[in-house]
Amino acid sequence: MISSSELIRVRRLPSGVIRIGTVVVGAAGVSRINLPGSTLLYDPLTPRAVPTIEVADVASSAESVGALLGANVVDAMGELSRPDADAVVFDVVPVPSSRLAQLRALGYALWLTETCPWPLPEQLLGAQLVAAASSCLDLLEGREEVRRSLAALAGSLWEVLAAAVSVDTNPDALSVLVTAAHGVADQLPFGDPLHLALEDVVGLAEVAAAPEMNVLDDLLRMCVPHGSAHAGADTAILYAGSATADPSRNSSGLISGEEDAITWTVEISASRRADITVVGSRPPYPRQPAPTPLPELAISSLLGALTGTRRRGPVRQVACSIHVPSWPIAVAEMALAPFGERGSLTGRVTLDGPAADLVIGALTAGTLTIDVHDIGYRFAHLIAPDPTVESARRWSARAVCATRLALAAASPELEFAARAAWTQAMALWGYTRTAPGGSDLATARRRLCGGWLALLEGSDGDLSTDLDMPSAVTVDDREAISATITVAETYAS
Amino acid sequence: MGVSVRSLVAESLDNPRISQYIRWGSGVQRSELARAAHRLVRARWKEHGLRRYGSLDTVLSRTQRVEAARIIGELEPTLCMLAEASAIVIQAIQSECRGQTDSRHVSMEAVSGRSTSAALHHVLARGRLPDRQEAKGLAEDILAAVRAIPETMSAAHFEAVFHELYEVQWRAEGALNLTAFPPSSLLLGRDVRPPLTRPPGAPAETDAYGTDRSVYSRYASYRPGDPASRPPFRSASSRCVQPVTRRQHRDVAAETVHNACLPYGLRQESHRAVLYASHHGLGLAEHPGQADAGVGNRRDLRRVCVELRVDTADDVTEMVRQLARDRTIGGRTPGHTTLIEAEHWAVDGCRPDQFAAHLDRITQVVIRRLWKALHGLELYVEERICSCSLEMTIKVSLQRAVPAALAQWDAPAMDAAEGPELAPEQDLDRLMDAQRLVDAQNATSDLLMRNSTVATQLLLLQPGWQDVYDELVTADRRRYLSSTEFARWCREVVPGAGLARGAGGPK
Repeated sequence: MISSSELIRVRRLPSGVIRIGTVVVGAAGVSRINLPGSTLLYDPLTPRAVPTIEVADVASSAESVGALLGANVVDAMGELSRPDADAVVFDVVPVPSSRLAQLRALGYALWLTETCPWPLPEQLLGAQLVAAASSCLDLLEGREEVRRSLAALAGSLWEVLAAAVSVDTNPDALSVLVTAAHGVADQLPFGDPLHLALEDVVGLAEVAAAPEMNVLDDLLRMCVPHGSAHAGADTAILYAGSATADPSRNSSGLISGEEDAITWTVEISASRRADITVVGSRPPYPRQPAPTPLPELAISSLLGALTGTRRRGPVRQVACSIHVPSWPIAVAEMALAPFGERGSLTGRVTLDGPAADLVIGALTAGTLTIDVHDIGYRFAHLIAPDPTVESARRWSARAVCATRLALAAASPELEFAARAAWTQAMALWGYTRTAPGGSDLATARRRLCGGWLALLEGSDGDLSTDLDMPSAVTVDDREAISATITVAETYAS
Repeated sequence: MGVSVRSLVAESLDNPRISQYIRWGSGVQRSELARAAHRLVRARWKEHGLRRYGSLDTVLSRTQRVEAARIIGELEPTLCMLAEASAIVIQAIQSECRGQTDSRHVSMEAVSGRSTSAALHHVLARGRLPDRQEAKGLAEDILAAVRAIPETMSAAHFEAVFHELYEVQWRAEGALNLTAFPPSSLLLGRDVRPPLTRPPGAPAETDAYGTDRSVYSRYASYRPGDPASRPPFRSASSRCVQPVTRRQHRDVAAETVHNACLPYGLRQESHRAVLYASHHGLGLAEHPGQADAGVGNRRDLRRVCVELRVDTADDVTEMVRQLARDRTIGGRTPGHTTLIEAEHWAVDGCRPDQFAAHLDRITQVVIRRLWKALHGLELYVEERICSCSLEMTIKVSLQRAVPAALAQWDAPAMDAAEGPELAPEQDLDRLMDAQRLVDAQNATSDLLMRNSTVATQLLLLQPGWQDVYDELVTADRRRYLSSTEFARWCREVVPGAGLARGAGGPK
C-alpha cells in the first residue's frame, strides 16, 4: 500500500496545461524558473515539498521532467496529453532527483531578489543568484542566453573579488563570491584574459572579515506592526492616510519598504480645490552601494534570461499616482523629489474641477488610492491585486525570512519578530477570505502561514492530505529550513 | 518516493571521493559524469543478465533496486577514477590553452563532455589514471576536435567585416522593407533599423527584444551542433512527420546580415504569414471582436496575406484561436475579458480579469518569442515551421505570457540604457523624459474628465476614438499624449480597452 505522502498528483487543467504537484498558493509570492516546455514554481512557504511544475508542451518537457521526477510522471503526462484521454488526474510515485535542491536554491535566490522582503546586501544576493543559476544551467531553457548573461558578469565579478580579497572579507561572503566567480569563469573561453584573471583572483581569495552591513534592525522593525505618523500638522488636515510601497512596483530602493511608510494628506479649500501632499520615508538604512557593485543591468539581464521576461532597467526616480474607482486612468501623477534633512521624498499636486470632485468623492467613500511606484510604471488600479492581498503577501514574505533567520540563529528577538509578522499575515489573509472568489485560496494561504507559526512554537501545522493542496511545514522541517539559510541573509543579520 | 537508476547514480556522485572533482572550479561537470555512470550501469546490468529496467527514470522494483545498488557499489572505484581522470584531462586542456597565444574560443562547455568521454575510454582500457603525457595527448585530440568547429566571430570583428555591407544592403532594401513591413504593426519591435552590434556593456538581448535584436546577436545565436541531434526550435513530438534538412555549407554571418534587411528579418514568406496569422489568431489583433463572427477577422487576414500563403495562415489562425479558446475563461464576445489560464497567474493577484489590461504586452511576449523561433529555424533547417513546432512555441509562450507581461514595463530609463542607436526620430514620443510624460498624462486625464461625454469612448478605444481624440487635443498637441501613447496607456490600465469591435491602434 502506497501512502499519500509518497505520491504526487499530475493533473490536466482546463487550459490544457498539465500541473505536476500541488496548487501554488503563493502566500509570500512565488518565483518562476523556465524549464524546457514547462515552468517550475518555487514557493518559499513549502521549502521541502517537490516544487510544482506546469507543463505547456509535453514533448519538449519530457526529458527534464523525467530527470527531475522520474518516468512515472512523464508517463502520466503523456497519458493526459492524449487527445482522447478521459482521465484528468493521475497520482503517481515520483523519483525526486537530488537536482531539485539546486533548482530550489535558484528559486529562493530569485524570490529573494524579486521580492526584497527587507534590504539585503545586493552584491551578495547577485552573487548567490549567479552561483545558483550556473549550478543548474543544463536544466534551464534558453541556456545560451543564461550562459551569455553569466559571462557578461565576468568583469564585474573579477573587480568585486579583487576588492574583496584586498580588504578583510567575511569568509562566508567570500565563499559565495568565489562560487559565483567559478560559475562565471566556466562560461568563458579558456584563453579569455578574464578567465585567467578570475582564476588568479579566486586563487588569492582568502579568509578575512568584512565591513559590517547591519540591517537586522530593519527586519525586526519591519516585522512589528505599528501605526504611521501622518504628514503635516493635525490642525490643517481634512483628510489623511497612509500607503505602502509594494516591492513589485518599487525597484529603486528610494522608499522604505516598511508598511505605511508613505503618508498623504488632502486639503480641500472652499473653492473645492484639492491640495494633495504625499511624503515617502527613505529607508532608515539607505542602500549603501558596495564599493564595487555588480552592475544592475547585468543582473537584470540574468533575471530576464532565467525567467524569460524583459526586466526594467535601473530606475532612480519615484512617482505617485492618485486613483479613484470611477476613473480607470490616474487622476493625477507626480514625481516625488527629495525634501528635508532626512531626504524623504515628497510631491504635491493641486487639483480642481472634475478631478477635485472625483478625489473628494473618493475621500468621502474611503476609496482613494495613492500608489507610489517607479517612474514610468503605469498602475492599473482597477485590475490590480487587492491592497489587502498585497499587504498580506508582504507580511508573509517578511515572516518567512525572519523565521528562517530565527531558526538558523536561535534568536529569541528574531523569533518574536517572526511571530508578530505571521500573526499579522494571518489576520490579513483572514480579511481577504471575504473577497469574492478569495475564500479557498485565502484559507490555504492562512493555513500555510499558521503552519510556520506553529513551527516556531515547536508543533506541526494543519497538514493537508489533499494531493492538490500543499501541506504545511512540520517540526521536522526546522533543520532543513535553517540549513538552507543563505549567506546574503546571515550576512545582513 | 521511488528510486530509479538516475536517482541512485546521483546519490553515488555525492560520495566525497567523487564530489571533490565536481565541486565548483574543479572543471568536471556533474551531468557528464552522471551520463558516463549511466552507460557503465547499463553495460554492467546487461552483463549480469538482469531484466531490463526501462529508462533511467523508471521506478525500480524492490529486487531491481537491490541489484542496481549492488552494481553501483561495484562501480564506485571506477567512478572515482573516472572523475579524477576527467579532472586531469581538463587541467591538461587548460594548460594547453594557456600556453597558446591564439584566441580560439575553447570553453568548458565545449570540452567537458569530450573530456569525460575520453577519460572513460582511458580508464576502461587501461584501468588507471592517465599520466602526464597521456593527458597531454588526450587534451590535444580534444582541442583538435573543438577547433574543427567553425568559430563564432567576436562582435568587434563582425562590426568591422560587415559594417559596409550592412549599410549598402540596408539602403538597397532594408529601409524599404521596414516601411512596407513595419515590425510595430505585429508588436515585433520598433520601426527602426536593428543595430549591427550592441555597445559593450549593454544588457544581454533576450526573447523580449524581437526584431530589435542586433544583427550580431542573431548571428551569434547560431550554434553549429551535432548533425544527428534535434535542431533547436523543432518540436520533440514523436508524432511530427515533417522531414528535417539541415542547412550547411554557407556563410552564416553574411546570410544573417542579408536577412536582417528582409521583411521582419525572415527569409521565408511562409514564416511571415505565420507571424501575421498568429498575431490575428491570438484574438488580440486589430479586430478581435469580429473573430467570432467568422468574417471580419478572416477577411482582414486574407487582405493582409493575399500575396502570401493564405492556406497556411488560415491553418495557423485556427490553431492559435483554438489554443487561446481552450485557455479562455468567460465569454469570448467583444468587451468580455479574455483570460488565459495558468495556475500561477492566480498567485499574482487572484483576479479573474487581471489579463484584461495587458493584451498588447501578452501578444508582444508571444509574438516575439515566435519570431525568435522562426528566425532560429531558418538558421538551422531548410523547411518551414511545422504545426507541432508552432504549437509548442505558442503553447509555451502563452503559458508564460502573463507573468512576463506583468513583470515588465517600458521605463524611460531602460530606453536610455539601450543606447542612442535605438532612439529613432519618429519615436521621440516614447523617449520624452519622465516628467514630460507625467505632465502629458495629467493634462490628458484632466481633458478627458472635462469632456465626460466622450470619455468612455476614448478610454475603451471604441470605434472612431481616434478622430475624437485628435479633435480634442488639436488646440495644443504638445501638451497632451500622442494618440499612440494614449492608446498604449489605455491598453495597459483600462480593463477592456481595445477589445471593442473595430477598435484598434492609431492609423
